[in-house]
Amino acid sequence: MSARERLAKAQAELARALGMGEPVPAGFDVERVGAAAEALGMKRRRLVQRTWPMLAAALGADFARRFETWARENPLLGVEPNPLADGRRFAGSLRVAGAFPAEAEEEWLQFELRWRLTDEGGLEARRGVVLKTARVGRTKRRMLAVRLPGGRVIWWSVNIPSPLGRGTG
Amino acid sequence: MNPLDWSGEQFLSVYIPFLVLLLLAAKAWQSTLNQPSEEPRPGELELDPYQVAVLERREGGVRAAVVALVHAGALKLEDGVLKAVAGPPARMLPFERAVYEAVAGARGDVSELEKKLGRELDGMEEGLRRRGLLMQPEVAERYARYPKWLFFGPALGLGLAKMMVGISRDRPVGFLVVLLFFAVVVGFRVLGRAPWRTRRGDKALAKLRRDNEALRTTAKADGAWGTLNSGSVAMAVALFGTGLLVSSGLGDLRSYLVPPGSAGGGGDVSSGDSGGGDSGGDGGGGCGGGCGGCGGGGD
Amino acid sequence: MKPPAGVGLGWRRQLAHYLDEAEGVDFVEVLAEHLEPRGPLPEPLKRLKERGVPVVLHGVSLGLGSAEPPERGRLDMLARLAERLGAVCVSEHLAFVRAGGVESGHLLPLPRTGEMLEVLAENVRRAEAALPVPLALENVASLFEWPGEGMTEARWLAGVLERTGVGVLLDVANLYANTLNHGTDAREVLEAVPRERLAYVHVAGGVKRGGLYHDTHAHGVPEGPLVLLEELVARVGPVPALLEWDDHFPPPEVLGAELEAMRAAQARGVARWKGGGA
Repeated sequence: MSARERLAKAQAELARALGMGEPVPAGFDVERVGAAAEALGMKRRRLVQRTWPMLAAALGADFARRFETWARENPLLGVEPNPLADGRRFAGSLRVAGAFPAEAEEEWLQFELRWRLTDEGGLEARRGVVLKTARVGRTKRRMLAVRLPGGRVIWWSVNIPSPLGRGTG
Repeated sequence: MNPLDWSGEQFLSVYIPFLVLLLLAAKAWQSTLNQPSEEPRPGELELDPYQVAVLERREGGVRAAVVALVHAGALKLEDGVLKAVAGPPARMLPFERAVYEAVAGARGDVSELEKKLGRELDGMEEGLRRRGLLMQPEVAERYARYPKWLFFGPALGLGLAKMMVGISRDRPVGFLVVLLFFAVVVGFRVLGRAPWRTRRGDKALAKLRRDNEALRTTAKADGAWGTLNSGSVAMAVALFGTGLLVSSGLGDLRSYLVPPGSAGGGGDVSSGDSGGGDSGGDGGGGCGGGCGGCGGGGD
Repeated sequence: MKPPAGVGLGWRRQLAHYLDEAEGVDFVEVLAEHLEPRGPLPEPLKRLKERGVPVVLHGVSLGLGSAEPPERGRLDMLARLAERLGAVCVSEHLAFVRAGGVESGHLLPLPRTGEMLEVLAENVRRAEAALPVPLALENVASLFEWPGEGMTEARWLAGVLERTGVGVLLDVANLYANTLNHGTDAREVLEAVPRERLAYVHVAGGVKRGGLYHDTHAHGVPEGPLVLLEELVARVGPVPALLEWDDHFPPPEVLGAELEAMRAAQARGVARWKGGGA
C-alpha cells in the first residue's frame, strides 16, 4: 500500500467515526473524538437553524432532537456542504414523515421558489418563472408565489374566511 | 380613409404602434408633471429612518419604528399581540416615542396603530413635501388625472369603436378584444401608480438604496440581527421592506406588520414582494455563513 | 494591491454593514465558499475593493491534507476568485475535510508524520502551480490528536516550511486552543515561523466547555490568543492580524472593542520588539 492509500484509509475511518457515529479507530482518544463529533453535530445543527429559522422556531425544543436523529443517518452531502441544502434535506424528511410544521410552510415555499436540491445534495438556482402555491401559517392561509426571471419573488396571500372567523396572521 | 372602415390587418398595423406611442407620450407627460425632478443635494438626504420609510410608503413609518423598537427590546410580540415592555430606552426619536406610547396605550392590529399615529405621519409627509420629495396635492392631482386620459381616452376609445364596428359587421374581433384587455392592464401598470413621490423623491430613494447596499446585504443575512443597531434595523426595513425579517426568524413580526387579508371582506388579496436578485452574488449560493467550517475551527 | 497590514476582519454578509461603516479595518479576508465563482461579487465587497482595502481569499474546503490530491475544479475556482477579487494571497488549512466519500463539514487534524508531510508537500506543489498568487497555510485546532508518536506542532510546522514554499497563516486562537487541550508548547511554535514566511495572523474567540477549549468563532476573544499575538509581534515585529467571527454576531460596539484589543496587543508587542530600532 502506498502512503496515499494508507492515509486515505485512516482518514476515511476517522471521518466516518466523526460524521456517522461509526466506531472510533484504534488508538484515538474515544472521549475526545466523541466530544469533537458532538461539536461538529452542534455546528451543523446551528447552521441549519440559522438558515431555516422558521422551521427551527416551529419545532421549538423538538428541533435539536429530531435534527440529531436525522443527521446521524444522513451525513453531510455535496461538493460544498451547504446549510440551506442540509436543512432542505432535513425538511424533506419531515414532510415524508408528515411531521413538517405548518408554521414553516412559507420558508419551504421560499426555498422551492429559488432553489432546487440536486441529487448530490447541492443547490441549483431555479431559472425563469416559477409558480407555487401553499397553505401557510397557523391560519392555513393560501399563498400564491411567483418567482420572476431575475430572481424577484412576488407573493399573494389569499385569505378565505373560515367558519371560525378570520385570522389576521 | 376612415380607419374604422379599414380591414382588420390594416387597422392593427397602425393601431398597435399608435397605442404604444400614446402610452409613451402619456408616461412622458406624467413624468413632466411630476415635479420637482432635479437631483437632491447631499444635505437633503440626511433623513432619519422613519422619514425614509414614509418616503417609500406611508405605512412604512410605523413598520420601521415597530421593528426598531422590538430590536431595542422596548416592544415585543407575544402570540400575535404587540406589547410595550416596561422601561423603554431613554433615548428615542420623537416618532419612536409616539409609536411606543401608542402601543403602550392600547392593543390592536397594525392598522389601528397607524390610525392613532395619523398626526405624526401627516407631519412627516408634510416635511418630505417641503423638501420636494413627495408630491404637493395639486401636483398629485394633475399627475393622477390627465395623462391617464390621453391613453385611456383616444387610444382605447378608437379600439373600442373599431370593435363595435367589427361586431356590427359580423367580423371577427377576438384578437382586438384580447389586445384591448392587454392594453388596459399595461396602461394601469404604467400609468396607474398612485401619486406619491416626486421624481426628485424617486432619485433620493434610489440613491439611499445604492448607498445602503451593504446594509441590505447584512440585513438579509441569517443571524445578522445582533450586528445591527436599532437605527440601522429601522433604515433597513424602511428601504428594503419587512421581507428581511424572515431571515432573522421574525416571520411572526412581519405577519403582524403586513397582515394577510387585513383589508376585510372575503377572499381578499394582499401582496408582497421580497426583492430581486436573490440568485445574485449576495445569496452566496444560499450558503449561510461559516459553511464548511470556517477558519481553523477547532471544535 | 498593497499587502495587508494592521487589523483586519473576516468579511461575512452579516458584517458587510459594519465593514462599510467602520473606519478602523485595514484589510479583509473573504471566504471562497461564500462566493459564487461565476456570479457577480457582492456589491459591498466591490465597494471595499474600490476603496483600496486589501483582500485575502480564504478557503476552507480544499483539503490540502487529504490523501487524494486537490481537485482541479476547486483549484481553478480559487484561482479565478483570487483574480477577480484582486486578492493579495490565498490561504487554506493544514487539514483534511473529506475522506472516503464523507464530507466532515469541518477542518480535521492531520497525523504529524513524515509520510503525511510527503503527501502534503506534493498536494501543496499542485495547488501552488494552479494559483496566481502566493499560498499561505493555517495551523488548525482540534479536540483530539492522531495516535502514535508524531512530531510536535512546532517541528511539524517547520517541516512544512522546509518542504514547501508556502507562507504561514498563524492562527493564535487555534494555537491557544491546542496549548489548553493538548499541552502544545506555544512559544516553540511561534519560534518556528520566520517573519518572511508569515503572511498574517488569525484571532478568534472561543469558550471552555466540559474541560475543553472550543474555538467557536462565536464568542469574545479571551486573553490567551492576544498574549500570543503580542509575543509574536515582540519577536518578529509588526504582523497583520485578522479577527474571525462566524456566528452569534455581536453588536458593532463589541466588535469594535475586539479589534481595538488586537491593535493594543500589536502595539504592546511592537514596543517590546528589539528590531524596532527605537
